[in-house]
Amino acid sequence: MDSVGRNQPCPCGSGRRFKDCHGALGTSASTDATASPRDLSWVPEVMQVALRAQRAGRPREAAEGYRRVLAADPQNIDALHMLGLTEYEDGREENALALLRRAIELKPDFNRARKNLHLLESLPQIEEEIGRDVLPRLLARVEPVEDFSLFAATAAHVHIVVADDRKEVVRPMLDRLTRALGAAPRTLWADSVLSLAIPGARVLDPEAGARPEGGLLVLCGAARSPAAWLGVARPERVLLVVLEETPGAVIDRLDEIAALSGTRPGLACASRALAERLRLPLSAVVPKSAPIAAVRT
Amino acid sequence: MSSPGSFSSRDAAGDRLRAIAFYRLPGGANESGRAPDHVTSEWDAVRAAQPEFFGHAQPQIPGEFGYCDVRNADVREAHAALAREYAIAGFCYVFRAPASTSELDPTLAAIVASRRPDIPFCVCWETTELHAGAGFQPDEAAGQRLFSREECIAMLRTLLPVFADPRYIRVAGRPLFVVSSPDPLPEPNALAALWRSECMRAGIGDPCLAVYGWISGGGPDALGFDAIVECPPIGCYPRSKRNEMIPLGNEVAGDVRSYRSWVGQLLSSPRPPHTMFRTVMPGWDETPRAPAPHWIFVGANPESFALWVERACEQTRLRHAGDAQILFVRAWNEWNAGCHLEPDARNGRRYLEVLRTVMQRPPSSAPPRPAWSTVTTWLSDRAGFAATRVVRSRPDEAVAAPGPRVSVVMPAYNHERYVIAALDSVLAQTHRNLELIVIDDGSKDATGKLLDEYAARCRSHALTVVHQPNSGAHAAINHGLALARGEVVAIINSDDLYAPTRIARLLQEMEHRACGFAFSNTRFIDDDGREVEALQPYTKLLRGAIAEAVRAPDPLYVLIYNNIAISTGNFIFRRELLERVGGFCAMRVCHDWDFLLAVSHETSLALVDEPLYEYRLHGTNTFSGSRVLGALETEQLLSRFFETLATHRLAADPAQLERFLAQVRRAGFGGYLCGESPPTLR
Repeated sequence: MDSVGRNQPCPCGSGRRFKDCHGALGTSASTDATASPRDLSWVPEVMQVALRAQRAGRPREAAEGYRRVLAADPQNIDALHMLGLTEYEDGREENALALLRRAIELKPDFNRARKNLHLLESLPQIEEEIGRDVLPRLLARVEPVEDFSLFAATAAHVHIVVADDRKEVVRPMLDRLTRALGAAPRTLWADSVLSLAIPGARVLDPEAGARPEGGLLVLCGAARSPAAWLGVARPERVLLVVLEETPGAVIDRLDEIAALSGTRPGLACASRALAERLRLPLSAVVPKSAPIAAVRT
Repeated sequence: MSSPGSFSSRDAAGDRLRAIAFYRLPGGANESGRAPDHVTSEWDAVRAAQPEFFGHAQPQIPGEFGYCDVRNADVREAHAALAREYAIAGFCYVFRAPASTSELDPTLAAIVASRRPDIPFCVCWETTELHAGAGFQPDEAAGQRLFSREECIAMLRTLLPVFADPRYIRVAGRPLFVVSSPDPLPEPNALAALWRSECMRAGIGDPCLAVYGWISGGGPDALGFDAIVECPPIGCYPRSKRNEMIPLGNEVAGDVRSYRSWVGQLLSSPRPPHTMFRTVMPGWDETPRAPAPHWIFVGANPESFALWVERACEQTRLRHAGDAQILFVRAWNEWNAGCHLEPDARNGRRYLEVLRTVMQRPPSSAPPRPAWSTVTTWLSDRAGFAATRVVRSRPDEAVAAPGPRVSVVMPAYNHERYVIAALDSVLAQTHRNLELIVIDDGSKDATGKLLDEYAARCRSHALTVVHQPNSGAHAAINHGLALARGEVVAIINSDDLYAPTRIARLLQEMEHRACGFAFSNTRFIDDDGREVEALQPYTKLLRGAIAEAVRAPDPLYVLIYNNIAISTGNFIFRRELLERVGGFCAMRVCHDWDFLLAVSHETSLALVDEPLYEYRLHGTNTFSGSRVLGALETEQLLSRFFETLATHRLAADPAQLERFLAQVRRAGFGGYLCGESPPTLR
């Protein structure tokens, strides 16, 4: 076994050295994995191999080991705990939380797992808090759009792209945009999945050449990243319209728009509640007479 | 050897905060004017990096300096000129040991011999490469170069003329020498002592030895070192974003992490008990290291970096004094980790501009506690109390109730769901001599209406409802307190509950123990009023802390690291204290804790170990969305407390003070006990 790495922190997050923590789990057990199914003496060895893979930055390989252990011993709380952490590293947050909760259910005083669960649950909040503080600073390099009709009037063509899979959010937004545009020429776009829910939308397929070109591109919602096609769309202007979003999603979309389209992004916040929560200027995306959106005075 | 933490004291003598950027030297000579192989190959890797997902900013292309070779003196000169222009006070030159440690890195030797560039510097010996995976050393670590004692001493001797250079950066007069990781060194403790005596003998003075990176188990003193230089991205657990990325190939090979979650974690980590210099970083993307395991941070932008720098500066000012106010920046030119202040084609000088803007801003300070006379001007101010809408109950004539008059102050904001239960719990108090003052802080839900209806119904007590425009919890409490006329004041949150005997019990204890201030143990309840599971980490931690405080000679022993009173709603105190302490300060999260510690100067605190306050944990608790800000405010208020410790009532008895300080160190809060501040000198 490597000796230098044994003094490094344990991947379980205990803050202790590996050798004093999970590295100290039984290491002298038999390695015979072909023994009878009731025989679990091979488990510690498999756990050690998996832990080593995890520490070496190969969470998927580690996860395989933990899964093997769990297949034979579904109540192995160490494997549940560590698999939870590798799942998290792999970006499967829901799985990770479920695994940690399961380990705690089996052993209510499993403090390390509880602390890790607490940490993982707090990460999105911390991320959002930073996002809330960062977003207002970002406004210096975006163009807050106060009146959508005026903004859109300068465009030769308006491409509206649905970028949110929550129907209850997208529908009212599309209604408002459509009314605000009046008779101006426009095309409605959605990707192959969302287009099923949005009648009349053209399917976005950059590889087949089906993509918005030129004009003003209006991105409805910040939930989905436009990175996969924004680079090839080459709009003259891009406007992000948000109704109900996390600050992080708005920041990421604005960054992507600036980086991929090379334009200064426009931002329209169409909900008073969101504008207050994220400290954004409120935009009117409908004519001032319409009752739906509150108008900034 | 000096005592650790000896330069962590804080004084008000001028702001000398310096930003020092890590600057990597490539090693190898440059006599032919042609880049040696490893320099070329590092740039080749940077050039060849392939984006792994849509929107992945690779390859990163250098900006105005191109694929430059920093062994060229003109390049270094130009870099230094740019750094100076953007408020960078110096470089920390990072070098790797040449094959023979009795030779100095040739570039470093040239910098010393030529006296160019003329920018202050210190050095960092990179004993092992510190990339993201280094926290969990891979098996390949066996192939790492280890150094013998003789090599380490030879290495230091080559550095003596470097330390003697007039440009060399010193902390409290001591040359700052950074070692990237002690792992490949033999017996760091003995080695540090040897290094120190070598330096002393050479007349350079005791060096300030710092470790760059993560130390498992204990602070730098465990290694015989003086300080730690924080080494992002090691030592954190940022949120994974891998599954959110749309892969360009089969899958995303790198470990994709959220920059924002990681900034948040670093900023909310508590102040360490040892000297630690903070390090900020504009971004991290090790894709040039692929196919080896590599981390990629997404969501980095100049604005997030600005927030990080701003808060790190504030922490540095709180933690260090004089020339120890150093903020490190990783890095000027760590191109193969996507970590560079040196301009690139995408962002140009934007990160440098952000850094300069923040560094040149005057230091901000913690919100002061307003003098009580300032708070009460609100009563006579035409735009203050006179501008609010007031609804009063019309209580039936009643015989005067026994005991002191208690004014209960309730700041209320958007708690339509809970506010009636809260009011009921006050009016149900067994202590009857009460008045109730509710400040509706511009609620947007039905809270205001419910309060008015309640006042109209209430016949048993004097109840005043004041509707003011939203001005924050601390202001609402201050206004309520300004209106209070009772001899004793108590506060309650609009989403919490009093136990029926709360006020009676606490008054009794205040009298019995001759305290001006009391608070109780707490029951944690959820939305529906059910008790929250005791094993939940937050409640478990608090339970443990409260139990400890009950056993301690004074609740302050615990209050220095945990706000066990939990909330202003748990406060009851003699109103006269306000004249001496002032009102609540404008901290958003921790105004209560700050007030409590201030009160402790004036009176002892009675902690009653009975669950007389029911605190509701729900999704909208202020603290749950403000961990990062809460961490900063905690540091601000504790700094304020420890600065005035010498005049605290605890300091009147030296034996008591000594016990208290021992507890402060045991709790890991020794970082607040500045070397020079009076209490520790006793």
